[in-house]
Amino acid sequence: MSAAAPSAGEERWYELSRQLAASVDPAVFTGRLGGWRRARLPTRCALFVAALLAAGFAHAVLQLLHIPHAVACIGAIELALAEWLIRRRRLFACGVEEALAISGLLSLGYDLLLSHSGFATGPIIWLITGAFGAAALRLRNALFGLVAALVGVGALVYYGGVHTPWLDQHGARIASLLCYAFALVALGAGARTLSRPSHERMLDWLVVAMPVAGYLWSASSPNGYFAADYLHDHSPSALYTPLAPLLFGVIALFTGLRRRTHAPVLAGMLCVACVAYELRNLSGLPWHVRFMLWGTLLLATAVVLERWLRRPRGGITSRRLGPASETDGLLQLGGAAVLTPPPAPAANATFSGGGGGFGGGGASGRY
Amino acid sequence: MLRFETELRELHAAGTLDSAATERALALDRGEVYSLHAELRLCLYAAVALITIGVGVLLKQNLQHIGPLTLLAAIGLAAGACYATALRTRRRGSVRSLAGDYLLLLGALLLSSGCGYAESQFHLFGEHWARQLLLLALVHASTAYYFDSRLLLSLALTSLASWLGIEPGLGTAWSLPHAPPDFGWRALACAALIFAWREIDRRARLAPQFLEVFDHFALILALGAGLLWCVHPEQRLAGLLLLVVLGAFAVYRGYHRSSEFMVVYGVVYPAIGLGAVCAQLIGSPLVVAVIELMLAIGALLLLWRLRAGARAGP
Repeated sequence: MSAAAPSAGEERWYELSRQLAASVDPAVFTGRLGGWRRARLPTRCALFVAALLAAGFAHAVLQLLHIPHAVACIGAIELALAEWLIRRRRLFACGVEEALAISGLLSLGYDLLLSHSGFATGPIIWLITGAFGAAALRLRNALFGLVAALVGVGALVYYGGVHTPWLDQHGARIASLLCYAFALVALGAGARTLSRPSHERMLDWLVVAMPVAGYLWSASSPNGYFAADYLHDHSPSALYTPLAPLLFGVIALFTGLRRRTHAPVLAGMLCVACVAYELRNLSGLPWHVRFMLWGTLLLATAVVLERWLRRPRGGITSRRLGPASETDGLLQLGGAAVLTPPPAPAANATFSGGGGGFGGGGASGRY
Repeated sequence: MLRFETELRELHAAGTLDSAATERALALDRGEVYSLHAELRLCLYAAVALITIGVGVLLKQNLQHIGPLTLLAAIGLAAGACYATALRTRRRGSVRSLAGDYLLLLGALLLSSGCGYAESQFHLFGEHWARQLLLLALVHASTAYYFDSRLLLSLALTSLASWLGIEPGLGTAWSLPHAPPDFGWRALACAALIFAWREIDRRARLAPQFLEVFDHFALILALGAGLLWCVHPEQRLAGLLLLVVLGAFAVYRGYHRSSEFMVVYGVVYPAIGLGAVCAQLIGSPLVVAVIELMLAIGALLLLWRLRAGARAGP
């Protein structure tokens, strides 16, 4: 039994206990988890935010007391506290130790940078990459790993020796290629049988987010995001922007279906959305018409697929295979509530029951 | 890829999993059965969102190009077609599918858009135009019960809140500190209405699966009202009291329903409210920072202590 982190076996048992929560009593797994304690998503997020706030207020207190090297002091305390929580209290993926570790690493690095080279964008970006990378490796946190990869690509291209102006096309293209390369490597690594669920999660996040980042880099320019005129511009350089996500999307989609894993399928769906967005000016239709057309097309495809897969085809089905989680249910309800059209006030409405400006019926109608 | 075959066989050998459950779990683990349910739901939600936004902009921008009656007829037809699929499924006595759920949601959203548009064009309710929102809430609520749809109930509660002048959404949460105090009263009234509706539903055993939806909507509205009062000098105390009482109630509910979300509401909202009141009352930034630090640590410890209970229940 390790004090520094759960073993692969302990992680696997925890993952299995989560998957079988509906059918097997959690107490069955207690002896197999090595005493490690974890929090579920809602609590983990709340604990992460609360710990970050606590770290921020601790910084504020020491700054207001004008203590020299307050940032480094608090950083060191946060890191020590995070390690204590992991080793003594056996916390893993609980949010608290993750917030303290990343805050501590960033604070220590910031103080070190400030005392050596002053405030400069390049070193700060490298610091963020390093801090998130180190925290990702120590805590096996997928989000930290993703942030490290995303910021690291920018750092490598713009502050890693190429020295191109920020967001110039050459640099952005290299950054885009690096993102796709990262995603492809992660997709390939996912083929291996992994022992740790946390490692699989890290690869999954990279597979999903890196191609989207790759597309955003390739579509960016110093002046914002403008779609090229693909009806007239057929140069390979211009076509790279829609073709790269399309190619990756197709590869990811087939890989996901063949391996029966979800992250590549999601990556494929996001890549198709990127392509659709990139080709937004091709038809010349007003954007609300495009919204309705794309929406109808997507709806028809999803309805047909859902119906067709009600009876499993090659083992693939559209039916839910397990119980829905509370988070899942609330996301659906919140999503439906957000879509409710805002109340349309009548042109000559005179009702002003207070609260105008806040919008909504019963208000003055201004919003 | 992760495979749990060894662990599953171990559980089977220990008698924890019976043969049927083991076979099912093994089939899932090997990928012999694979569900695209989540992906399809995401697609359906995105499709419904795209169509609703597109229709909303169409109604706003193209009044002069297309006559209002033509637009209303088209929207009515589309909404009718969506409701008709749900009606057909119900008449056949079969369970509505995932796609059926979202088609029904699309129908209800189109109906809302169409009603809003009709009111803005024909002033059916005149000065009392907001009553169309109450009417919509009633229609969505009736269809929610008729079709047994939690998504439609969510729309009904949103329309009810809109009728009382609360437009749910991220924008509302963001602008909460700048809202007038009477917004808090309206939010509280809405929460009370929803809670009363919930009690009627529970006692009459109309749809037990809706109780969770009522709980979340009512609590979020009431806690939002408490938070708003905390930033208004005349109502600080009332806001704080409300948050503490509702927080305790949310934690109690969280324990009884094994809901971690409820416990999170019960700790986070009062902590934010208390922090906001302290920041207003205390002049010294250092003291405020110390108190906020203590509050954050306190909330963290409380949440940690309570979370285990929320999982296991009372």
